[in-house]
Amino acid sequence: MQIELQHVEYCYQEGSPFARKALQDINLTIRSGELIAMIGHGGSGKSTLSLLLSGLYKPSGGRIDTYDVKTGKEDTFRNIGLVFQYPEQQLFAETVYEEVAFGARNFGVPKDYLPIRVRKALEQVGLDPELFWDRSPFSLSGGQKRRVCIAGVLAVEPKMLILDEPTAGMDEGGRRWMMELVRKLNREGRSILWITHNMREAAELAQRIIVLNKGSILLDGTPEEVFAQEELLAQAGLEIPQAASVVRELKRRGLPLPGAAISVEQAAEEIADYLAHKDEPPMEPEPEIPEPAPLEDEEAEPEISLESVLAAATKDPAFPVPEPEKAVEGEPRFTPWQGGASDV
Amino acid sequence: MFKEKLLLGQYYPVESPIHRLNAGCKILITILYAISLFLANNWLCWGGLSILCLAVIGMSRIPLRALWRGLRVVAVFCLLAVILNIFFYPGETAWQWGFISISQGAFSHGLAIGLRLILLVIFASLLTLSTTPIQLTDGIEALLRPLAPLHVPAHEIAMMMSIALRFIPTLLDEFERIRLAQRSRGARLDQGNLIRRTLALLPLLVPLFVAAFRRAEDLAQAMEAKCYRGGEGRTRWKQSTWKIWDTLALGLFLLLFLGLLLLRIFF
Repeated sequence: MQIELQHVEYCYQEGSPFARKALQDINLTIRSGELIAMIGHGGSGKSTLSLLLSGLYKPSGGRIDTYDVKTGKEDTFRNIGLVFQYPEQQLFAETVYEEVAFGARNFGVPKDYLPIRVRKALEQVGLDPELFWDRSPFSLSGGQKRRVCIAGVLAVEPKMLILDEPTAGMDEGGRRWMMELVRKLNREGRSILWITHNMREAAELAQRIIVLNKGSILLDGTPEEVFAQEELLAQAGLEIPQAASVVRELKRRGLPLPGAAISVEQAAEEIADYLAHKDEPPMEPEPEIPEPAPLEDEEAEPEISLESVLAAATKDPAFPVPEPEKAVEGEPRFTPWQGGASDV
Repeated sequence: MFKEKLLLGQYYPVESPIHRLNAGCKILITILYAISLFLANNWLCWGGLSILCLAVIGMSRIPLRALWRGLRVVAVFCLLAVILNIFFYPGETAWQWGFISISQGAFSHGLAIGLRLILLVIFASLLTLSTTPIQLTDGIEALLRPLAPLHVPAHEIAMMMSIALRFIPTLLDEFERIRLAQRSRGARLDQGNLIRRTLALLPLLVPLFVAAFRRAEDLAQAMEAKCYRGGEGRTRWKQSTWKIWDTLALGLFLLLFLGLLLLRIFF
């Protein structure tokens, strides 16, 4: 299924003195099977857009077409699953089974099939059906409640899943689990729209990133394309992922890195690659480099401390940022820092 | 959306002399005006009171459209009262057709009732249109404070009212979110018979009550953490002040009230 938005706008409380425009001139096509991250500040219109996409809001202007490429029109509610922010606040049923079966039953799944759907959905979110079937959802832990809510959406078997900040308030383990679940669902052929303000999640998860700023689309492209626009993102008050800023800072300080990494894994690879090859001579040695200044001892070999770069890139006050060396003609490209954190 | 109607009560945010009046003063004026309306017993006085009402509307700078929005439902009610009064006014029959009869003076009587009801509702609307709910509760507290020797818990009443008012928009937001969430899970409120529709409210009401209790607990804890212990010695961030205009306005309506009272007693 495919969703097309043309010049969509949305206005809250239209016609009253409190009217507020939340979205303007949104043009967007979401194709079948895409894994998209939507990022933006609070109030940038992310949640409003998710409500429009799922058909719960009607646009104030422009049009939204949801259709199957082959068969034409689609039932929006049935095929787009929306996981709200803090979905555990919508729990109501007496048992986990009833809670998970609610959506599927509403959408007309026959009675005999409901337990099968519920079992499958619970297994997908990693809850043992035997243990949780008859428990009250209100007796579960916060993380389990959220899994139950997601299972409730999965039991409907939507073709597209919109998740509004699904990792909000989750610990690192829960975050990783959630991302793995979404990857798996995407591999099964579901389109995913993952709304977040966490750059790292967006960088590690998505094939395509949409950046919203003040109700309009600022950037739309692959993670590489989007995070290359560092200045534009900064204007919108967004930072590039920390891993990306580390490798870019290293490159800026003269290390021969590609500086293209955006996820932690890619950054680690780039740095490991550099460390493995740093003793080899460069492929095309520059002939004009003069002899390096005589070193005092072997220990103070010219290198840039990773920690200080990390500190500079992440603006962590725990690490003092040393003054960058002034580039003087004729000096070697790498000069040791006098002092600072160099005991790598 | 409900929220549009309830977010700030009916409050219409514009700058005007009426908006600037003290809330307590406005409540007293509304009460005085209401009593005056029913003290008056001839068309001259009613005409005067109507002109006064129009003058207050003009001064408040509230557009008639906003005023009408609040009046629509009540207007139907007033019309009904007028019609009933016209047909069931006792007295000498002036006109008859079948079993329908209209007494002498019924028209004038019915119209007078309708006019007074409409004026009353307009004036009360002006109060809520020009005063935020928080100002209103402050005003009520100020008016109830003299009753403290009679053990009227003025502060507690005002605090309860302002907390309730404060949480109306929050709970409406919450309700709207829950409604959307259940709607996206296929819940329908507009299908089936009465029993089905009532049962369909459960997925909305249960989470709403859970949220309300959670918020109440949080609020109680936060108030205790901030050493809340009732109204004694408590000061306000936004002091409501009593200015010369409040005295003048209240004086004017008091004179009006006394004048009508004297008129009623001696003529």
